[in-house]
Amino acid sequence: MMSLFDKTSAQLQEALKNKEMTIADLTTEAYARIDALDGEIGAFFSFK
Amino acid sequence: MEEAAAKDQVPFEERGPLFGLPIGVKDNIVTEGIETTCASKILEGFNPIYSATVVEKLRKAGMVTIGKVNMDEFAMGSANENSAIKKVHNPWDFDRAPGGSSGGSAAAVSAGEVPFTLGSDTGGSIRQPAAFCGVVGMKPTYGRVSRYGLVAFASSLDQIGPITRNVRDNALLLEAIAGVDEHDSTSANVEVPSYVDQLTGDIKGLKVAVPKEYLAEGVSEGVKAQVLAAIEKLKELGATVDEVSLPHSKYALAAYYIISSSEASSNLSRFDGIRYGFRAEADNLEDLYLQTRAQGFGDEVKRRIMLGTYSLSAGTYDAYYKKAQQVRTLIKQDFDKVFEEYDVIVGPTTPTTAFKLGENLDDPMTVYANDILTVPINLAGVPAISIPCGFDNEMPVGLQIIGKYFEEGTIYRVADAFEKATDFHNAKPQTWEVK
Repeated sequence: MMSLFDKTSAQLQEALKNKEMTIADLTTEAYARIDALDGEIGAFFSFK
Repeated sequence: MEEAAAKDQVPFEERGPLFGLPIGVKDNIVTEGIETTCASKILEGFNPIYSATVVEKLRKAGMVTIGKVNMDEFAMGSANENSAIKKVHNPWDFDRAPGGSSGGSAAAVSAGEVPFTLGSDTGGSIRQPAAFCGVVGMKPTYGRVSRYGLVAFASSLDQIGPITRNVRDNALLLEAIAGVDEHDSTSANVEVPSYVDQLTGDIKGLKVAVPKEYLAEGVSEGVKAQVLAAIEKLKELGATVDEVSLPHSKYALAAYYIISSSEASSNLSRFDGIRYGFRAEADNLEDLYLQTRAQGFGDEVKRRIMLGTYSLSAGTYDAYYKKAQQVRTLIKQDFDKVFEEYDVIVGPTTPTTAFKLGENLDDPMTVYANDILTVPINLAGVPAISIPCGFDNEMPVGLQIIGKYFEEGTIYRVADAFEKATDFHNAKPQTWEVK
């Protein structure tokens, strides 16, 4: 399964408008991918 | 998450094109109430009392700031190995550097952790990691984006800019953060156009210059091959391409390291253990300054402070700092001359693809040399972007497109036309397969 971020901002806005996803879903996706990946990537320091 | 849930309640007609989308912010951009360390021990525990202008602009655009991203300490480095907190790994090959100093910003977008990040670029710190990680990174014209709230490294060179996976999103984010700011006297009162409106895909008749110095000795054959193929693609799309010369480019690296280190030695004098973050144990005030700075700064930062202090000292000022400023003027004049006839300049972003982590730890000069194609742009103050243009040994190669002052729109037009005609921006590292 690819990330929700495999879309342009225009596609994401379209999906939000069509209620295929919510902003909360996008935020959850970011945290989930950081949780899954960042142990190896090391890109993030702190999270809100 | 509360912020995201609240944004979901905002009616669609009140939302802009970036509303609700997640973004990571480089940790040298201050965020009110959120620790800002510049990846340095000396700023441990520093919670800013205000947010940078760009952070306020992200908020106005409705973006959701996910967190702060890793970097080389005080933005000094080209491999992200100078972070005092942890190293960043390139998503295309974990054994390789993501570039620097905005290595965390580029790696986060490349890995698919967030679709947008902000970086800062003093000598290539957005474009070089963007090239190494296969993403799009823009260093705007000096003065295009407010530096208010960007922890200063070299104030005459620093600029904040966007890192994204595609050109259109990059243009949208720059539109959101650009503009004059009363808090930054070096921000320019030049109208911010709609960059997205300029993404026509049409570059017929556009005049492209290719500096011979940018494809000379030192640029790897693999990088050169991909960049030459990209230049051929621009010709196919209708651009006219000529070879030009930027003759003073060969002095740019030396001038850059003198000027940037001199400014850094002044800017970083404020970190004394009294006002910000870390404070060492000491018996008296002088010892407090000495111990805080000795224990708080990493080796690369100390190296540059010493280099800068030496360049600015009375006996060497004329021979180094003044001379470097004269070279800077010559470099700017090189660009001015080419831009009298041409719309953009193109070449590689970096001489090689991402090098192995640890490979150059004891050889700072080799790391500095990696900036050779990006520092002239900062010295001149012109804008430039790095976009993916191919692969060499399965590692991304970056194409650098340089534009005239405040003509980021033209750069985006060329980058977008190339992106529409190719598929390199859609390539992803294996991290995208993670569920």
